[in-house]
Amino acid sequence: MRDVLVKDLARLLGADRVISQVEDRLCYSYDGTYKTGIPRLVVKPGNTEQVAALVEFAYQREIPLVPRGAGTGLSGGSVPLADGVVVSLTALNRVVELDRVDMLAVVEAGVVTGSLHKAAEAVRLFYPPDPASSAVSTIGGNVAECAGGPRGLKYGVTRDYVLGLEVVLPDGRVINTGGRTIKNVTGYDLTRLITGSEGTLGIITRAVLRLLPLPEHKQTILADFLDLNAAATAITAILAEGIVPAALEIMDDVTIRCVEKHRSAGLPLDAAAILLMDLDGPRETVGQQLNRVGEICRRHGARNIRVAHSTGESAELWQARRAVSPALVQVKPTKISEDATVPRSQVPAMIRRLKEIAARHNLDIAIFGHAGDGNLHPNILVDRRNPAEMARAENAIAEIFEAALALGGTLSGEHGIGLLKRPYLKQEVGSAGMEYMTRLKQAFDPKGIMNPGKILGRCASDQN
Amino acid sequence: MIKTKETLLAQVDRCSKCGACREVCPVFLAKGSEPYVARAKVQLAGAWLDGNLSPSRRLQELMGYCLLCKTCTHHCPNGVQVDRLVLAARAEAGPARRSLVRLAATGILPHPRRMWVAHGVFRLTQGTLTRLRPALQGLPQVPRKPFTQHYPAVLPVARPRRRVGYFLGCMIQYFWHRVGDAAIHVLREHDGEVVLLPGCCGMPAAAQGAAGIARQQAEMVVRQAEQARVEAVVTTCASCGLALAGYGDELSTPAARAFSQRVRDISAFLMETGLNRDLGVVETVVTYHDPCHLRRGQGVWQQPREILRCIPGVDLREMEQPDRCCGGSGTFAFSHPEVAAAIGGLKAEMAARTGAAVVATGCPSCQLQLAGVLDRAGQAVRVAHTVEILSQAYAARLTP
Repeated sequence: MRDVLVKDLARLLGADRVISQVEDRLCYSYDGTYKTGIPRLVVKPGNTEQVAALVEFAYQREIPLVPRGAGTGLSGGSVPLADGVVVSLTALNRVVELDRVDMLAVVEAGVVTGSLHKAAEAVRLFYPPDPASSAVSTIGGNVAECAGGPRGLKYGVTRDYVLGLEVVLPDGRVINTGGRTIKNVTGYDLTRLITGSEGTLGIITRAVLRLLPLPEHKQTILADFLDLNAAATAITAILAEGIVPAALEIMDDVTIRCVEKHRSAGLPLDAAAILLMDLDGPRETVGQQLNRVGEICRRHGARNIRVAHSTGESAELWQARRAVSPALVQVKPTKISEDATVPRSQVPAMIRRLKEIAARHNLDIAIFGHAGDGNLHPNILVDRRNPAEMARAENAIAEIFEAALALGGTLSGEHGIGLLKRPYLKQEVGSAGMEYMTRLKQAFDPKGIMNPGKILGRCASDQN
Repeated sequence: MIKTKETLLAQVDRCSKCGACREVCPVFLAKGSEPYVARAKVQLAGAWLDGNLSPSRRLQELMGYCLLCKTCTHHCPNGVQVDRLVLAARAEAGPARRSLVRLAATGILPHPRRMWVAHGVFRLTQGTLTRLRPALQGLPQVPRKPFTQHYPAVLPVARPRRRVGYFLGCMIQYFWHRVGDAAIHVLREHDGEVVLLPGCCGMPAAAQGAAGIARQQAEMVVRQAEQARVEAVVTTCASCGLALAGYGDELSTPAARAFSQRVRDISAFLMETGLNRDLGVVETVVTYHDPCHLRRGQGVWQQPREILRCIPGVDLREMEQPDRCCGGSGTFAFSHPEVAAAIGGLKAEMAARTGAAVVATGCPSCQLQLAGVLDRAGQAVRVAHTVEILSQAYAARLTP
């Protein structure tokens, strides 16, 4: 069976674009989560036409497809299920256009987000979305998952920068949604629907992205606290004063220690929590805000305020922040990354509840995240080879979601539902919500070939 | 070297699969496909160790696509030692493909007599071989006799301050005599009584998965140094230095541990014992390339730069990413010429952009690769070991 398929796909795309050996397929079985699934085949189309031809072929034969960028997702979105064929889009890697007057970029799906950052900044433009994996993650994956990042607090997330998309629909037809204008109310907003659809409605091959002028000045500040709750209340105090930092991140003691172990950025190892902040804007405003933020932090019990004196020092601190999530496997090998998100006023309450949940279930839960916008990343640290611990983790996850929903929040701020949060979706959107999402999926993808089992799909906890 | 399955699996467990290595792995950046990146090698090793993947030719092939440059480990939030997993997989996951490179590394280099014959054959056919294997392009004309035949086993000095063993390694012994000559000159300038230590460090055999042969070499080198009764063992080859420094952990004997503690790269040795700063002028623009096995392997990167800055007339200009692997990686350039050429091409560009007349470095394997790629890129830039420039500076003082 597989051999016939390999031949057909090789005829369609070229033999070097079809990967069939098990050793190679294994390298497309994972993402940044602990979930894995070896794909039936991997294909690497070189352009939109090839993607369209491939999807049309798969539609006729009802072959499930799993779109994939750099494989850095944190919800299992690109982990193959059901003998799917992985569609690796990294060969579509051109920055097609960078328009300084229209202030937009046209990029193919496989362009690495970090390289778009660099290209834009070289002409004094700014693409704000900055997921921690941006040095390697792709725009296609970022759009499909609606990635966020520290700058979400001030600048919003990926969806706020997507003006238009080129999408290969599940039957192989290619559509262009949105366009090159900021204003566009022509018909249903398919751009927003497909952004964050996790590859379940079609394959994104190209994006038109809005850019901003690069802020004149940026300053990084680090405040450390001997009490986690004090740090949390300092966050709400800063925001209550009308200051909106470009980023406002929290890291607890566990995360500080993990991240310092292999690539030291000089973070205080004895602190209970640190706040890492960026202020940006005109030089003068940044200077004033810097003083006020320092004062507020001190008033709320900050022990030390460190201001980065060079762009190098600032880059080092942010590099440390980006290393947090991966570094947590030093505590235990299996890391269950959550990103339950609450209104920013509820951050202190959420942190208290997380600590209670950790204690109740006797689990290591590290807390860090984008505290300024309420998007926390509690990470449950366990060993998947320990069934008792895994069971306790399952219970803790359910309680974390309950807490987030009770505080007016949501299951996922930026990682997506994927495989990991599927069982809890209904709890948030309700039966009617589930039904409409399911109908929407069926309208786009009647044969169910697009990334089956992600977001929607059967799972053990689905009762009806 | 990590030996047991448990310790290897512990390395696998430390990989969070975040993919950060995709930013820096030179082989991945040249090939552009996940199976060639460090993360994939860790997962493949994990599947093999867990018994979910049987050893196969393809597994060996993929494990072969690693420079052992440690760039991933250095960048990894968890410091996963990918090179150790790769070496373990090469050693144990079934026989590698038979090749001339493997034969040379495991069957010829460790045996002085065979090497003597091979050296003679190589010398006579160097022109033809270089046409067939462009990776050989950067090699100097092969000398008639091995290095040790040009010198007595012990080189006395008038007022010896210390007795130093100079571990030559295959590259100096058979090919790069000018580096060896310079090293001896420099050591004697520091009143060192030099004892020449020939032999192969075992790294080429280990890289080919022949862990047993590498171990035998290690035992031999330790014994030889013990007999020579030297205070320090100095190297001019980054890879030899890394191998020698690792014997302690590898063999776990008191003798091997004591030996490894005495091993120093020549630049580190000179800075540690006090550089003779009575130097003549060498008027030239230099850029320095960090050998992976010096900078990430032994933590040596400041010392060669300090030495170069001490030399009057030397204008040291840093290139972009001086610590990016040159793609040579010992036998890699021979087994994977296309990838090595692509990685080396980038390095040649970065080095040439500084406007330097000389690329200095601390490893003959890098010298070989750099000379070749610079030549192919049409760049008239010379490649020299740091000690060659230093030796030139001492000579310049003597003949004003």
